[in-house]
Amino acid sequence: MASLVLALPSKGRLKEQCEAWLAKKSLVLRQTGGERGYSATLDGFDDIQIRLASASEIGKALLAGDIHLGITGEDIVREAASDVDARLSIEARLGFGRADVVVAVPNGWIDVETMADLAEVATDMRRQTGRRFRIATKFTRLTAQFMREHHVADHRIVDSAGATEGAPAAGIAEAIVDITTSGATLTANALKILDDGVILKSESCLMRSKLADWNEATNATAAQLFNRLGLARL
Amino acid sequence: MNQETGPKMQAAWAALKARGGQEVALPTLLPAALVLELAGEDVRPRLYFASGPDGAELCLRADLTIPAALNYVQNATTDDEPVAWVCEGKVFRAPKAGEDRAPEFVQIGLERFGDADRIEADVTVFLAAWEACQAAGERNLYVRLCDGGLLPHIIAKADLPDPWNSALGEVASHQSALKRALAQASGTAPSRQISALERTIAELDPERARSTVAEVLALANLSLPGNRQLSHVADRLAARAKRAIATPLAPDLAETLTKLIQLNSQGSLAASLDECVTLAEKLGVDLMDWRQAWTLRLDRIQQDAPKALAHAHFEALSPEAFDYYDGMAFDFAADPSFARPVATGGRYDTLVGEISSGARQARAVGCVIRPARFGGR
Repeated sequence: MASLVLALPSKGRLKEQCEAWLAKKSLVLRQTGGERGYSATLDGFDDIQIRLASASEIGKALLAGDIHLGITGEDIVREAASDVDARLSIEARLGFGRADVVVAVPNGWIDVETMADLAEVATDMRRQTGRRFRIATKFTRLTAQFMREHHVADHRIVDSAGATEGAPAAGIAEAIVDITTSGATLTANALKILDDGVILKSESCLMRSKLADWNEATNATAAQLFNRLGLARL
Repeated sequence: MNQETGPKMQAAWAALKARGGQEVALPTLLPAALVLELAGEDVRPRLYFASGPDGAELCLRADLTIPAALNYVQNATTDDEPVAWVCEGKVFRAPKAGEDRAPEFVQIGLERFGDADRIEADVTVFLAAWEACQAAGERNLYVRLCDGGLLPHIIAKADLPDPWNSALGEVASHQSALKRALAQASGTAPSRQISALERTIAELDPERARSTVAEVLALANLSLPGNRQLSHVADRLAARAKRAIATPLAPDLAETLTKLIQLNSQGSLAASLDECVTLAEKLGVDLMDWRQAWTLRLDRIQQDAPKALAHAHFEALSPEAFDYYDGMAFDFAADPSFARPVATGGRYDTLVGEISSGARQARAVGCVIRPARFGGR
C-alpha cells in the first residue's frame, strides 16, 4: 500500500449519505468508470486511493488491515470479530446509518420484559421440551456474547440470512436478534423489544485500521484529511 | 512420533484398554445443530464449522463424548444395550483469546453405555482414567469429585415452601441460575414491582388465570406464535408474581442451601460427604442411600488404586463446564486450581435420550484423557 486507502460504501442510501457528509465538508467524490465503477477520487486529495465496496467488505478490510480508513456500520465490525478494538479505532460517529441491534420476542409474551425473564423462559422450555430455546439472527457473535452476559444458558442460535423478523411466526425460532431503526418492522410482525434488550446502538462510523501499513506519508495524508473533516488529529 | 503420540500416550492408551472395551472409530464431522443443541452456545466460539455440498451445516468434533453417544444411538438395537468403547483421536477446539495451544489435539477415552450396575461402571471408568494417567508417569495428581445429581435430588425432595420449591427445582442443575434463584428466594436480590394484572393472576386458579390472559391478549391484539402457548405464559406470569409477593425462604433453609451449593471442602472426602448428609437432613432429605453409594465407590477405588484419593476433595455441585454430567463426575489435574485437567469423566445418563429426542435411553459413563497435558503442560 503506497498511498492511503479510504473505502466508502458503493451503493444505496449509505453511499448517498457518505457523499452528502463529505460534501458538507466541501469534499467532492468523483466516481471513476461511471456510476458502476468501484474506484473514485476525492478532489484535493490526489494521494488518497478511494475504494467503493459493500459495507461488510469494508468492515472485513478494516479488521484485516487491507485498508487504512473506511466508513461502515459499527454493528458490522463488532459482529465480524471479537477483538475489534485491537484491530481498529472509531474516529468519528457520523450520525447516519443508525440501527440498533435488539432482542425481540412475540408481543403476546406478556410475562417476558427483561433478559432475566428470557433466561428463565429458555430454562423452562428446555426442561419441558428437551429442546433449547431458539434465537434467529445473522448477528451470531454479538448474540452469543450478549446471552452469555445475561446468563441465558439454554438457548441456541439459528443462523438467519434474511427476513429474520418472520422467524417466530414461521416457527423457525422463539425470539430474534435483529437491527431496527424505528421498530416499525418489529411491531408489524407482532414483536416487542425487551426492556434491556438493546445489544448495540450502531451507526455509520469513520474507522481507522490499526493493522494497516501506516508510514510517514500515509499518516501525513490522514492528518490532512482529518483536518479538512474537522476531526481531531490522529 | 510427535509429543502427543509419544510413549507416554501409548502407555496411557494401553492402560485404558486394559480396563476393557472395543476399539471404535468415531465420526469426526458432526451435524452442527446437534452439537450446539447438546453442548450449548458457549461452545460455538470454539467450534470449527464446515458446510456440505448439500448445504448441510457440519462441525468438527470438539470432544469424544458426543460422537460416542451419537454412535450409540445409531447402532444400539435396544435401550441400555451394554457396550464399552475405547476411542482415540483428534478433537478440534479453537483456542480462547490469549490461549497458547494448538487448535487440534489428541484425546483418548473410554465410554460405557447400558451398564446395569451404575456404581461398578462409575468405578471402572474412574480407575481406567487414573491408571492411564499413572501409566503415563503422572504423579501427585489432584482429584476433584462431584455429583451432578445431588442438588437436583435434594431440592426435589426438600421440604421447601411454595413457590420456592418449584423456583429452585427448575434450575437445580444450573450452578449460576441456582445461585440467582436462591438469592431471590432468600430476599437478598432486589424484588421486582408487579402490576395489578399479575397480582390478580397470581390469586386465580390456573384455569381462570389462563382465560384471563387469553382475554388480555385478545383485547390488546397480541399474538403468540410458535411453541409457547397461552398456558406457558399464564403459568409463568402467575409463578413470577407469586415469587415477587412470597415470603422469603426462612434464613436457616437459605443458609443450608447456600452451604450445600458452596460445599467445596479440601478436607477429607468422608467428612464432606457426611456434611452433605447433615445439611440435607436439615432440609428433611434422607441421603443415606446416596452416602452408601459413595462409600461403595470410594472403597472400590481405594482397593484398586490406594493413592488415587490421597489429594482428593468433593464438591456438591458440578462445575458449570461439566454440563453433561448428571451423576458422579471427576477430574484430575497437576494443579489444584483444576484449570488444565489431564483427565475428566462422569456419568451422563440423559445424553443418549437428548441426542435421539427420546427415542433411545441409556445409562452412560465415560472419561477422556488429554495426553498433550502430561508432564504439567
